Amino acid sequence: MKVFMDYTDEELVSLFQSGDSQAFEALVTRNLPSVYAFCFRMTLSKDEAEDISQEVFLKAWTKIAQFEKTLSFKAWLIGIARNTSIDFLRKKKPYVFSQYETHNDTNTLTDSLTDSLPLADEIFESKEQQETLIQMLSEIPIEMKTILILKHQSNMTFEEIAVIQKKPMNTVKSQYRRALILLKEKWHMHQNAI
Amino acid sequence: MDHNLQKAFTDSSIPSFSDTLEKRIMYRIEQHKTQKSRVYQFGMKFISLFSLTGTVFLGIKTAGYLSTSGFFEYLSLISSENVSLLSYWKEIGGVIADSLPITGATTLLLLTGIFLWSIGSWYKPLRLTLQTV
Repeated sequence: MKVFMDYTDEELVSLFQSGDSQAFEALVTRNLPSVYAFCFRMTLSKDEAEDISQEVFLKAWTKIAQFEKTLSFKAWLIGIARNTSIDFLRKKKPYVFSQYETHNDTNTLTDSLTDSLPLADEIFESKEQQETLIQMLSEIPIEMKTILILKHQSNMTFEEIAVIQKKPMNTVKSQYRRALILLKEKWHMHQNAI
Repeated sequence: MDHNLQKAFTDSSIPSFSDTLEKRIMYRIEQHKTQKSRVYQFGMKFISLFSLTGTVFLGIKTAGYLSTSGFFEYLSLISSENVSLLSYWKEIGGVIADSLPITGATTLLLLTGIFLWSIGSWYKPLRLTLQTV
């Protein structure tokens, strides 16, 4: 396995496509932590994240011929993880989709909201509160939650997220903004309830 | 807020995955490969059997047709030392072609080709497996 350390993911894909099956094992070793982390953030369950990670790599193995080098391998893999996680969550239970969502990806409620409730930095100094905020992600619509996880957990750019979500970049940016506002609303409601 | 959110994502812990996860992934891929190969082998064996049956059936039919159509008699004329053959070669060629079951013979050739291709595709991996045992 050591022999693959100098190769990029994309070079390993080429090696695998030319018949070196060990190259795929190296890709799994290298990308498993980020795929698992993404799946864990989506499901908030270790067991489910492990099951989905298995599914993701199996899908990647079967679809590797479809891999286009316009995206990085990691982004392509996270794209598969995104779809697999969403399918899993949808099968598991009907996810709360925003009743305000319209067909053209606009949201009548959150678009009318202004960012008037800034969050104090000290709020996030407590680890417990940070965990609470992460848990609250499951209370916002799945598409918005996915964008936040792609941006902050997988460190994707808006451009990469747009390709993964198959949406225009401006739509992604606007959904991201709405997600932040919605999360902030939820956070303040939670704080007031305490 | 996105700065704070980034901090929350970074600081919030993620339980580490099982040590066996990577092995389980590779095992699942191997299982999938085996299953896929079994389906392929089964399909190929089915095609082999189907094309062999067709080849035998059509072979008998074509041979029967050739003997009743007089094809062999016309063909034997070529090997005879009859001089008039040279002057009537066009006519005799036409008669031979007429007595040939073109569709049957083409289908027979096609089925034989499919049979050889399908048997080759499942016999090759079988031979490799036998060699390694």
